Amino acid sequence: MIGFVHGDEARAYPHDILDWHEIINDRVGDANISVTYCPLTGTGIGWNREIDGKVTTFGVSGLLYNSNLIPYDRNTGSNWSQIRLDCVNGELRGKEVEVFPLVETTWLTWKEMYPSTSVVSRNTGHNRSYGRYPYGNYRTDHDYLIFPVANEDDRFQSKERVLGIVQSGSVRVYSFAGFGDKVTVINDELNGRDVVVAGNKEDNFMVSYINDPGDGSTLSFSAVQEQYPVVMTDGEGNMWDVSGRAVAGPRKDARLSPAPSFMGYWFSFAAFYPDLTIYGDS
Amino acid sequence: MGYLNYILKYMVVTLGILVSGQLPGYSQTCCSGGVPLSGNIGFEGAARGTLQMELSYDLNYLATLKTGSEIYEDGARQRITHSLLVKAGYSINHWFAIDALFSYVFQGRKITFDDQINQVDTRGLGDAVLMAKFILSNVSETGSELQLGIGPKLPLGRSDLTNDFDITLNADMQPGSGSWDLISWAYYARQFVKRPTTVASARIVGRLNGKNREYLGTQTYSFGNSVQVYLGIGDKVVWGNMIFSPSLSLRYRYADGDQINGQILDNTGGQWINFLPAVSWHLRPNSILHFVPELPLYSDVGGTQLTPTFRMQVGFYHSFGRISKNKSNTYQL
Repeated sequence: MIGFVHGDEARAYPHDILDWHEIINDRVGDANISVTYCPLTGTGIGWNREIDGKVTTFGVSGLLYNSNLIPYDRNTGSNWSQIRLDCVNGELRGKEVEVFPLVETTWLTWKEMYPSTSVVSRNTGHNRSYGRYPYGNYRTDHDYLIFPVANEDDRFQSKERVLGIVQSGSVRVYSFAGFGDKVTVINDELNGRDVVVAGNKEDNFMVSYINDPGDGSTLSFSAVQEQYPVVMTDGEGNMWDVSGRAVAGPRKDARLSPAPSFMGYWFSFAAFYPDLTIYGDS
Repeated sequence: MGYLNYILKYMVVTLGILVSGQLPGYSQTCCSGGVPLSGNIGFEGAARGTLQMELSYDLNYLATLKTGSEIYEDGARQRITHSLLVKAGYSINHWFAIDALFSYVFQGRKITFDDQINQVDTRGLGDAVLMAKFILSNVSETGSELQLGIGPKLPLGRSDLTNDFDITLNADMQPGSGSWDLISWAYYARQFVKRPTTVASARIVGRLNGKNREYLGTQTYSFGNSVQVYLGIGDKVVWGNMIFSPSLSLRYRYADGDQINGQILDNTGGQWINFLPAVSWHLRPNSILHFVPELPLYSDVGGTQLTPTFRMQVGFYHSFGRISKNKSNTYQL
């Protein structure tokens, strides 16, 4: 599932539903969010659906680019590239997407993090077999791509799930190989920005944030174990949860800006960003 | 358009996969929406030198969304295939005949969400079938007829049509398959002894599909191999000064899943059983008008598919040459 936290509200978007519908337009607190999910690239990204002060909804255009979802906004009919995070055709062409941070993980982990979470219901008004994955062995067969992609890269198996940070044109990918069965934190720098990545292979999540609590300073993060949703602390004694919010410490309620990042199948990052770097590669 | 041109090669239209608005989803359309070639090839046997011609219009309306054999109530998606079919057959001698079938296709797919409609239309020359037939026995001589046929399906239709953005459409919306296929055909009909105007017939059509090796530029695509079995019974009745041939038939069709790059494509293939209550009007001894509605009785599709809701065919048949007095009355759909 894919989770979103805004204020005190947590909401879960099950893959069972996203596999069929691909986009859920929602409002959580005062956040107008479109959870966009492409089953073919395994990418789930939260888009702010308030554009230039106008709230819109996104729909699925029926187009794919590099096997990836092309949503369209209903206010202007413009087409957007999900992984490129920008508008590729229409009135808003060239406009970049503002993303909300999402947590893609298992229901078990999410429930442990946010026991009072709400969950998108299967009562969608549409009659579908939500328990059935509609693409057969697609997500596990690394040789099975339905549509051609521009660049293939065999440094990982094609359907391995990785986290990619897209920072001002530079992209770095983090694989679960660098994480274990405990929360691990990576302090990194990408294209001149300090970023922090937290994850747990066993609990199946990776998240990333810009390492700037809002005052231009840089913190030194380290992992916190068994205190979900808290996953990190810093040299000042703040406790940071998986959504990037300080829940305790001198910076309580401060927020880390989300690094534009998302989980996805490895092949999709390689297809869109052939010049990407892999964390840990020399 | 610079960026769009750049990405065209790796941009595809996939309304067939999962298309949604805010929360609707749709599955891949099935191969059962295609051009009815293999089901239409093959005339009955005729005397040496007889040329048989037929012009037909075939409508295939798909609006039933199913997973396996379960119907999903969903009125948001429609697919219509209109086919114009020209069929010709020539009897070389008592034992051999050749048949040919050509098609022209209009396809439309409409997806409705709230008040928004997404419509995709294509049209063009479709694929064609040539078939050599071996007439082992003729109904006019023995009371039963047995024919065997085999021939290629020629990829005359285009399989690289694009939409308004110049983006290549998926295989199921192309008028042609882009592949050479092999079609085998067997037909058996037998008159009732006590009522010679009544004829029971059976027909089996197998289709072994080749590969389109230039699908979306770099991939291979093959539609699933299929087999169809027709069982029918028909009679000839006189009403006033007009002669009609009513018939009842069942059609069973099984299709393997399609393949992309050798991988089975989910949400394709399945099996269908349809009921065909047909009637032919014998305008003259060598001219027939026919009307063949086709109603689905049962289907079990692979994964989730849009599957036929209604189908019909109207056609005009004419033969040039000697007329068989005991021509079978079960129209060969």
